[in-house]
Amino acid sequence: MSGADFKVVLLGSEDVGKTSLMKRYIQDRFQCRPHQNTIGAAFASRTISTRGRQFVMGIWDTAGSERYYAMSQLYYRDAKAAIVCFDLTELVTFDRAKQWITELRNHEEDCKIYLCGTKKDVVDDGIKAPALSHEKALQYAKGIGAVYMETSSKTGLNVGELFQLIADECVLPSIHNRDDSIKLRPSPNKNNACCLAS
Amino acid sequence: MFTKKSPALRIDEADLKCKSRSGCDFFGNPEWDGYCSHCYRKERERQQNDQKKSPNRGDSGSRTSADSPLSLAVAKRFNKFEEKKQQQRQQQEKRNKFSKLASSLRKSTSIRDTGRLPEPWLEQSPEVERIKQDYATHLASLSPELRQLINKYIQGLCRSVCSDANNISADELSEKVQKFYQILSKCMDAHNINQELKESVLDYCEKFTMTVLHRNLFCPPTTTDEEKDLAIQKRIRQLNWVNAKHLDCRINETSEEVRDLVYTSITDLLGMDSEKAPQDKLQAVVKCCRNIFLLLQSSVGGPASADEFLPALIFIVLKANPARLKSNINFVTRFCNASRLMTGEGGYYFTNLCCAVSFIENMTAQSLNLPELEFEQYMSGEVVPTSTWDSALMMYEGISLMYEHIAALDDMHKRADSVLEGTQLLQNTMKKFVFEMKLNVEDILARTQITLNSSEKVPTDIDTENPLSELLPPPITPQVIAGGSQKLTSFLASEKEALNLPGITKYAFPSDSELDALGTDSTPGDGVLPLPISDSQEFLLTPSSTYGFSSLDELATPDELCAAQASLNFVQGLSAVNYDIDISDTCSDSSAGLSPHPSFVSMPEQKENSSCIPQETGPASLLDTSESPTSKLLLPSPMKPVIPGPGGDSGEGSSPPVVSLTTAHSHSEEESELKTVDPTVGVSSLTSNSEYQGFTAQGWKIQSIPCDTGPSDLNSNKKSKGDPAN
Repeated sequence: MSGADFKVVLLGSEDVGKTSLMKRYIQDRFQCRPHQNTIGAAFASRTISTRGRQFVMGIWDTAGSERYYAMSQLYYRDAKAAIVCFDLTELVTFDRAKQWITELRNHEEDCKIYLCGTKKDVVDDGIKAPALSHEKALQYAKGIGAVYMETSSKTGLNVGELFQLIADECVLPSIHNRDDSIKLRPSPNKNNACCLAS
Repeated sequence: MFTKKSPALRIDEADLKCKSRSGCDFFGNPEWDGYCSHCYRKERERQQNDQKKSPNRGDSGSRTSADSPLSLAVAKRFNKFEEKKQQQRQQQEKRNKFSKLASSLRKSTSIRDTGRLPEPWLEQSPEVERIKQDYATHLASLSPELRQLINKYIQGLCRSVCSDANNISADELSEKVQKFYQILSKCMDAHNINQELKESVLDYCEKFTMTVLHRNLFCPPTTTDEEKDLAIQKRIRQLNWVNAKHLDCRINETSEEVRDLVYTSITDLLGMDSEKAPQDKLQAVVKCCRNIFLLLQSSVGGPASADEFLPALIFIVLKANPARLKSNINFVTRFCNASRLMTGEGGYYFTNLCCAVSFIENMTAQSLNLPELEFEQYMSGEVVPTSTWDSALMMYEGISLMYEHIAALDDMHKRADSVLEGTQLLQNTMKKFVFEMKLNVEDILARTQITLNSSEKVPTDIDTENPLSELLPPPITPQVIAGGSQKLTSFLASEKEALNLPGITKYAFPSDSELDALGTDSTPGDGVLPLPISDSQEFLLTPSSTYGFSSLDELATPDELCAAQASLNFVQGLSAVNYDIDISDTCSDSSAGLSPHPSFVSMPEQKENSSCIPQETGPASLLDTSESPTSKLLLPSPMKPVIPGPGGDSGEGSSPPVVSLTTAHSHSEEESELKTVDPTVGVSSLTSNSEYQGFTAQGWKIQSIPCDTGPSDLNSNKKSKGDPAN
C-alpha cells in the first residue's frame, strides 16, 4: 500500500477534464517510469522532487457528477491542495467550480485552491470561443486567494507546471516550518498568468 | 443501556417506575429490587441500619421468647445464622475500608481483571503469534532498548485501552491510539531508524495492538455502531432492486469476465469483516477496488476514472451488503494509522467506500434520476424493476446455457449426420448386395431352372409318356435281386454279417436293377459305374452308394436343392415313403461312424425288429423320415422322376429308396462336397433322374409292395425312430 506525503484533490464538474489532467500528468511520468499502476485513473501517487527532496504526492480524482456532490467533503478532507477544474468553454462549469470553492473554504481552510481552466487547446485552436475571459477568471481567483492556471491536457500545456507548483507550495512550508525562511513566489509563467495569492 | 432498552419489552410504564413510596419518577430496575438506583441505595442504607440495630433487638427478642423452648431453639439457630452473616458483613466492610475504594469497588476489580487479561492473550492467541513471527526479522534488527521501549508502549496501550474501553467514548479511544502511533513514530525517528524499517515496525505495532485489542475496540459498546450496521444492512436490502443502470454504472453485465470480477470484488469486500487489523481491512478494500477497476477497464475499454469508479463501487457495495459495514468503516477510521495510510491509495479507496456508503444512506429518487413515485414503489417493494441484476444474471445464465446446448446440439447433429451417412452407405451396400444377390440368384436360377424345367417337364412328360415309362420296367427287380442277393449273401457271409443279408439283398435289388436300367438307358456318371464294380466290399452299398454319389453331385448345388424344395410340393408324401429307411440308416450310420456298413447293419436291425418284411419296413421308415428336412430337401429330385412313372402313387413309393440312400450318404459322408459340386453335375442328376425314372417305373411295378407295407411300416418307422434315439 503506497502511502503519500500529501494529497491533492481534483474537483470539478463532469467532463471538464479532471481525469485527463491527471492522466496527462501521470502518463508523462509513465514514459520514463512505466512501473506505475495504470488500471485506474482515479488515484495516482507519484514522487515529486522539490528543493532537492522527494515527496510522494497522492492525487485523488473525484466523481464530478451532481449526485455525488454531497460526498465531496469526504474527499477533500485533509487535502493539502485542491485543483478545482472548469471547462474554459463552458460557463456552467465555472459556476460549479465556484460552488466547490465556497464549499472548500467552509470546510477545509488549510487546503490550498488551484483554479484550473481546462481545454485551453480548444480555445487556442479557435474551435470554441472561451466562455469567460481570462481576466475574469483570474480576478475571481485572486478574490478567493487561489492560483489560476489554464491548462491543456491534450498538449500538456501547464500540466507539469501546475503539479510542480502545488508540490512547491504545499510541501515546503510544512518541511521548513522551523526556518520560516521560505517565501512563496509566483511561478514564472510566460503565456498564462499563474497568480498566487497568499 | 439496559434501562433504556427494557421499556420496549414491558407493557405498562407504571410498573417500571421506582417502587419507592416517595413518588420517585425514575425507572426502577429488577436488579435493584424494583427501585431506581437512588432509592435502592437509600433503601439499602436503611436496611443496613436496621440490621445493625436488629441484633440487639434479636437478643432481646430471644430473651423475651425464652419461655417457649421450641421458639428458643429456632431463635438460637436463627441467631447463629445471623451471627455468621454479620461476621461476613463485617469482614467485608473491613476489607472495603482497607482498600478505601468502597464506592467504586466493582469498577476497580473489573479494571484489575481486564487489565491483567491482555497479557496472557499476547502469548496465547495464534493470530498474535503469527504476527510476531511475521515481523520477527524486522524487530530483530532493532536495538534491544528500542524493542523494549516499543514493547512498553504496546503494553501500556493495551492496558489503558482494556481498562477504559467501556468507559470512554470511541473518539477518545481513537485519540489514544492515534497518539500511540505518533509516539511510536517519533520514538523511531529519535533512534534514527531508516524509513523502511520504521514503516514495517509501525505496521507491526498497529497490527499487533489492533489484533489484540480488536475485541475491545471493534464496535465498542459506547457507540451505536451495531445499530448502524443493522440500519445500513436493512437499507441495502431495501435497495436490492437498484441496478447498474440506475447508477449510471457502465458495467458490462453480460460479459463473463466482468461477472467473475464482480463476484471477486464482492468477495473481497466481504472479506473485510474477517480481517482484524485496520490495515488488513484497508487492504481488503484496496483489493476490491482494484478488481472494480479491472472490470471497468474491460467494460469501458481503458483506465477508468473516478466518474466511473464510484458508481461501480456503490453497485458492488449494494450487491455485497457486507456484514458490519459501518462498524468496520468506523473501526478503520478510528484506529488506522491515519497519517500513514489515509493519504495513500488505501485511503483513497477507503474514502470512496465511505462515499458509497454515505450515498447509499442518503439515496433518494433524485440521486437515481427516478421519479419520486417510482422510487417509493421500488422501496416499498410494490413494484419490482424488470431489469435487476439478478434477472440479468439469470438471463445471461440462461443464454449461456442455451448456447452451450446449441453447441451440444450441433455436435449431436453432426454425429447424427455421420450416422445417417453411415446408414445410407450401409443401405446402399445392402441394396447393392441384394441386387447382386438377385443377379446371382437369377443367374443361378437361370441355370437351375433348366433342371427344374427339366424335372417339371419330366413329370409332365412322364405323365404323357406313361406308356414309355411302362416300356422301361422290363428289368424285373425281384429276379435280378435274387441273383444279386446270392452274390451279396456270399459276400456278406465272408463278412460275417448274416443278419444283414436279407435286408441288404432285398434292398440292393432295386438299386441294381436301376443301375442296369440306367446303364442301358442313359450313361450314368462316370464314377457311378466303376464304383459298384471295383469295390467288392462296397458292392453291397453300390446300389445305394452309386446313387448316393450321383445324387450327391446333384444335391450339392443349392440351386438343385431349391429346385428340389419346389418339386417337393408334388412329391412330398409319396417320395417320403421309401426314403425313411435310408435316413434312419444314415442316422445310425452317422452314429456308427462309417456310413456304408452301418447303414446296412442298421437296416438289418430294423428288419430284425420287423422280422419278416425288410422291404416293407424300408418304405414305411421312409414315410417317417419324409418329415425330416433333409429328406424333404433331398427327395424332390428323385421324386420327380417317380411321379412321371406309370401310377403316380406307386411310382413315387418305389423310387425314393434310391434317393434316400444317396441323401444319406451325402449327409453323412461329405456335406462339404455338396457345396463344391459343380452345376455341371446337374447333368449327372439328370441322368440319375433318368435312372430314377427307370426305377420309378420299376417301383411302379413293385407298387404292390409299398401299398401293403403301409400299416406295418408305421410301426417299424416308430421303432426305427426310436433306435437312433437310443
